[in-house]
Amino acid sequence: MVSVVTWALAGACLIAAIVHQNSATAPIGEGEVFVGEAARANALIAESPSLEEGVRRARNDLAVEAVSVVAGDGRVLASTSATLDGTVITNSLLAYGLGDSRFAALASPTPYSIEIDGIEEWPRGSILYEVLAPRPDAEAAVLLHYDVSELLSRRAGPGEIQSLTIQLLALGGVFALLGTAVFVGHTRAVRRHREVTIESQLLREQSRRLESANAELAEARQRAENALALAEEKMRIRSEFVLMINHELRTPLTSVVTGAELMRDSGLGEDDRQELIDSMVAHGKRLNEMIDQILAVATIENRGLGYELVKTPLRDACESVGAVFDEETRDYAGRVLVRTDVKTLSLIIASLSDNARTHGAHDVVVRCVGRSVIRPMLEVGDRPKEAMYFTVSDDGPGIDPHFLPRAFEKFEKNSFNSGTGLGLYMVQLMVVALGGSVAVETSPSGTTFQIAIPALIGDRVMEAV
Amino acid sequence: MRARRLGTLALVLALCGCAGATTGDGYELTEFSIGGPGSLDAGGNTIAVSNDGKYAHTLVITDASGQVVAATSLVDPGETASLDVDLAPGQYNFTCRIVAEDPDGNIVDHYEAGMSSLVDVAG
Repeated sequence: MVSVVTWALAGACLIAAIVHQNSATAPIGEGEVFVGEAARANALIAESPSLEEGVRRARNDLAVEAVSVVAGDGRVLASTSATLDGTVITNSLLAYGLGDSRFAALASPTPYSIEIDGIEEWPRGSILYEVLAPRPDAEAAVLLHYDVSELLSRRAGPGEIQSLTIQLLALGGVFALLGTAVFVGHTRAVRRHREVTIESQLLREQSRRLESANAELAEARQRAENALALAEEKMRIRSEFVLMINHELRTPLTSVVTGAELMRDSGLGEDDRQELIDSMVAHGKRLNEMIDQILAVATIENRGLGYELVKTPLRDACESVGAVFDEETRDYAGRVLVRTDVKTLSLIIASLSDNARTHGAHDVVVRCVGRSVIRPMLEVGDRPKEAMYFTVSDDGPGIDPHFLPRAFEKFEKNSFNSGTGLGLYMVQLMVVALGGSVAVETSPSGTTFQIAIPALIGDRVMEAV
Repeated sequence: MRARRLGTLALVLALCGCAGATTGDGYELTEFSIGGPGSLDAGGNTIAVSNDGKYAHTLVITDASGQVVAATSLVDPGETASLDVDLAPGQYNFTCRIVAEDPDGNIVDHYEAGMSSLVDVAG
């Protein structure tokens, strides 16, 4: 835009130079100058108190050699040139102009001399411009004498290049150069802007890739950290498992072996002997139960339950697990089928009941309900769309909130002396195998586990039967 | 009018005094043009001037810088005059430098009206 403006200015200067040159070199006479300056001289003389003062003021005001006032008969009434003042001049111009009281100007050799400030500047025969202009309302005219060469040299000779023309051309050249410089600069700036834009886009793309790579790296690092944490957790669980095996299996085994050695080596009374045998049997059973539990977990993990789920009347299932109905459920229990394995369901309930008593509960109540009756704090497995619920509630001290999130995980236990850490893990394995879920709500006043198993209710029961 | 006639007579007499020295091609003054050779030889020239028009005219010779080289007195219609001038090589402008008010009150500048002729002087 700036370059266009400067080029336009350059063009304007060029046009102005051409116009000025043509105007300056066109034939232009001095007529307008003479008319104007003669009128000015007449005005100054009219304003002055005397003709002598008037001609002096006119000469000082105008760029002329001499100013005179001439009467109609050629008598000079007043003049700045002493050689003219009071004389009678009779050249042809005066005859031409004065005779008809007309304006006239003539460049020609003068028949008299002109004196300026007491010095004869223009001797007779000098070529001067004489301008004669009648004075308004007076029988006289003003006579101006110009140096004709000085006057004509104000104008250029034909075809001569004017200085103003040169100045305009130079100014136009400056504008043209400026416009070109601006254009070149702008073009370079635009190119540079494009380059910078492309570089910026490349940088943004690289930055985006770098951010993506960083995100992938962070994700990979997180995965590695998770894997490491998992590995460490498995190592910890295995270590604890080894300790648990060492303690939980060795303790009853040691009791059995020690009891047998006492019976072999010492003469025990019949009562002590019978008590020792009862203790050995109890520890043996405990040992057997734990081995069964470990084997059961291994079996379920490796092969699943190994039997099919069958549709069973809810009432039969409840009787098998020793559950009691609430009043609402009792009304329609006969019209409900559950799809389950009653033996596994019994194991689950028994395991939860045993777990409750192991952890300090005195009373354990097993119920069968038609809807969820707890607000689960933890639930594993998928709760069926149509389900019946078995709850195992105790009055124990509740589950430690810090332990609760890990309650159903393998080998997890709340204290070192509380079993194998497989009880609740096996429960969730079996519940999931039955297609249900197990949830828990606990508080310092007791804990309720809620088992959800698939059920067929209402008309679908009849269809199923 | 009497004074004008006297002036004209004096001019004619003055011109007649040097008419015998007129040589070379002449220049004709008319309304409003100047006819004559477009070139002259450098050096001394006697230039003949004749007024073939109906108004009085002059012939003023200026060089390229505007300096007056020579000029005639007023040449009345039908009259002649001559100029002795030493011209250096260059271009000169032959003009009539009369500005006069005509009977209708119009200011007529003879030069501006067209009485101008460029003359080349060769060395």
